[in-house]
Amino acid sequence: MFVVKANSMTKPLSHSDLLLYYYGEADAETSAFIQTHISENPEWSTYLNELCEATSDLDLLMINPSATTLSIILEESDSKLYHSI
Amino acid sequence: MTTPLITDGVLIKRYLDGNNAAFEILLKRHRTRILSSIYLLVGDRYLSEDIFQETFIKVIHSIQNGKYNHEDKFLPWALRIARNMSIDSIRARKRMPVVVDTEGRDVFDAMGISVNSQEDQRIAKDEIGILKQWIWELPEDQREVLILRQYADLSFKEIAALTDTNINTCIGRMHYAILNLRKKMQKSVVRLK
Repeated sequence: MFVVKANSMTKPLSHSDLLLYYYGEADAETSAFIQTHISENPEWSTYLNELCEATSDLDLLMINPSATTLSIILEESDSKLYHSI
Repeated sequence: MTTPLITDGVLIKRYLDGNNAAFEILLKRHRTRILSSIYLLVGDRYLSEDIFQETFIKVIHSIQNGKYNHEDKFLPWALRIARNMSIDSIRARKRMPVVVDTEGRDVFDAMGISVNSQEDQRIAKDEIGILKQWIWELPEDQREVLILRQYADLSFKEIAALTDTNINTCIGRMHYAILNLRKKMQKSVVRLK
């Protein structure tokens, strides 16, 4: 767990908070707190950069279905649709 | 994920009103996330395509039979179906008998024939194959959270509901999954991209 080094306030911040922040799931208060104090806490930036590096590589594994598969599914959706009306 | 102009719930309503183009938008909107998730869960390109197709056939039947009542939560619902089918498929593969030769070796291995598809054999040699291998080497619970968060774009709350765990457990698993992947990336001499 990290501890913020801000002068006026102290709030414990964990990897979980930063993970939620990275994926846009942190609450508004925590997000604002991170944005305000990130420059004083280089370890937060390091962790967020590491997340960014690791996850950008992961996008290489995104794949799309073949045209045949899509066409079979759409034929099914169309036939079922008109059968049911 | 940004909120689309026409929500999934509206598309499903339009589809039920007779507009198949609305279903096509829904399919195209979610195809990459759902197929990529299945692929990384089962580890085989062709099998994942089959499961993807079966998932959407089940989705169509459920919507048509009035069983869809999740409003704009289409993706978590479809992924639950896909995940269950993937798990069934993995279990079925584990039950498949192994044919061995007189020396106890798997006959297909001895012949140089893998149960994995040819495409899997090809990509296993390149950087994408290496990345896939790293994900497969993660502990199962970490791998699943990573796939569902990164590829399926489910929130940690949705993943917790789907996997019958709590949100803190999911976040912890994701943290260690990323940590383990980073270690593998740093150790590897292979540069990705």
